[in-house]
Amino acid sequence: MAVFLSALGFGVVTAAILAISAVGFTLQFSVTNVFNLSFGSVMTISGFVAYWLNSAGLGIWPAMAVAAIAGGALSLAINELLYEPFIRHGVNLFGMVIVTISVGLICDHALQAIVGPSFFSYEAPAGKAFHFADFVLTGQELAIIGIAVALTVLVQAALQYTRLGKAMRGLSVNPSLARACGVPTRRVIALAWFVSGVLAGIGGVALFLDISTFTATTGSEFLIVIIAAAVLGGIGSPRGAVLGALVVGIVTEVGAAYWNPELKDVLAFSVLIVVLLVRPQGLFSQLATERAVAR
Amino acid sequence: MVEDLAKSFGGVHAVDGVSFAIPRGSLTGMIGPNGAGKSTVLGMIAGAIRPDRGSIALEGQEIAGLPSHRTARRGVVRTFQAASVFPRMTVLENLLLGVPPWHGEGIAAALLGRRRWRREEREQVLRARELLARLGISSMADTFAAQLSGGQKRLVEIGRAMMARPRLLLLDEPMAGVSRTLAPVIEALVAELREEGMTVLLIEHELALVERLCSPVVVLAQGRVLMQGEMAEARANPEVRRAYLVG
Repeated sequence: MAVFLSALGFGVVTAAILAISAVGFTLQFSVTNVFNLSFGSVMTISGFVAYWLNSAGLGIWPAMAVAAIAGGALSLAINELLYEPFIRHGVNLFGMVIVTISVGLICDHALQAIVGPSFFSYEAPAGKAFHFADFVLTGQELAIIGIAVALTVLVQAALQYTRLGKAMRGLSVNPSLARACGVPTRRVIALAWFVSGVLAGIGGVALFLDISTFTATTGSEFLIVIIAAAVLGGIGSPRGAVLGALVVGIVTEVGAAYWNPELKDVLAFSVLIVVLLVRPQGLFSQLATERAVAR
Repeated sequence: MVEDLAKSFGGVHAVDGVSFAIPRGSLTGMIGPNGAGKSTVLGMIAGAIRPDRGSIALEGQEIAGLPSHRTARRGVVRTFQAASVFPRMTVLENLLLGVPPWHGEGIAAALLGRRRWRREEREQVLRARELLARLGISSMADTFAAQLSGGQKRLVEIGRAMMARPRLLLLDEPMAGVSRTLAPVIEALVAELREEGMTVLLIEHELALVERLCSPVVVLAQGRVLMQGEMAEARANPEVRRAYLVG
């Protein structure tokens, strides 16, 4: 029981990190229909921005805030400078996936060329341990969970209740109708990339804090689990992404405690495959069959 | 209002120097054989298509070349030939999305101006419900738009356009894809809009309908204006007859 509860604690922390990232990934996808596989690189680069600031003496939480902005700016820049030209030339959804893989690889390897192939870690105290029965969480972990809850609630509320959120939901399905309703689609798309990058930045720093050592490719390695969570919940649905993150996070950590930690990803994808066999559209789906890159 | 408008697609002159006026408060019809350039003209007025040259003035203000979300905010609101709704939103949400000028647009605005924004939202919901009642689809307010029939989607689309209180309403073949039971409902609705003094440009290929509803009419053929006048004149005009026979 003690093993189970402590694994559950780890699972919730992993789920929190997954939720932040998966919501960012799925939000951008739901607006633009670009399946962005360079998302992990934005996480990593933001994580390193926080690392450099942290090494220079800044506390980890302010460093995370700066990294969030850096992630947003990077994500926006990648879209405007690299993806936009391809989209303008009419590259289809599958072509864009290849473009995003390439951009991700280039970012990871460029970063590796700068920082080298070694391991890094933040200078950040884990904080006081809080005991909830057999459940032990550090102050740092509690903060990550709190940030995840706040961010996901904020994104969900913004999507549900603001006109901007409605515009975002409408945009990916029918951009010309959205424009005819007075929605400034270019600006909304830019905002989606920015917000997605901010979430990638926060998710990246949270991930690096949690796993304590990281390299120039850690974000991209974790991306596959993020995608599992996003797809499990129904790609394009932030609510689904949170649920998917909880399932994947808890199953992998509990599984790792009783089984082999090396097989975490195997577990994540086993869950994904079983769920998709029962519900091919994911738990909450918005996946339309006929979609094109929104522009 | 529209002067010397032109657009070519890959060397084909889809619209070649079109000039006509839509008198304020009129229901102006635009007719012409397939490929005459009607939808291209409408697209240019709506801002969805950038004209190669020419001018479009809305109550004296130039709007040619503005992107479509800007023309929409100036009050030029369109419907599409294929009835266009947001399928994963409810009928009510579809109507609410039709309203510019978007006070609650930014997250900051949504947080700071919450009280005003909430009041506006309440008013808009009220208006949307009134419109739905008028369109006879009140019972479908919370239905996903994807589940509607073609004609019902058209009603939602026109309702969405009316929510914006347009200064110029552009209807692109509103009868396309509409069942025979709903066609008269939509016709009556368009006639009501005319009685209320809304300025409308209607593209339609069914001449009898245009004759019942529109005055004046603009006849397009091969990207040019053949004539502008009353439908009776158009019927008598030999050039128009020839265009329809040839086209």
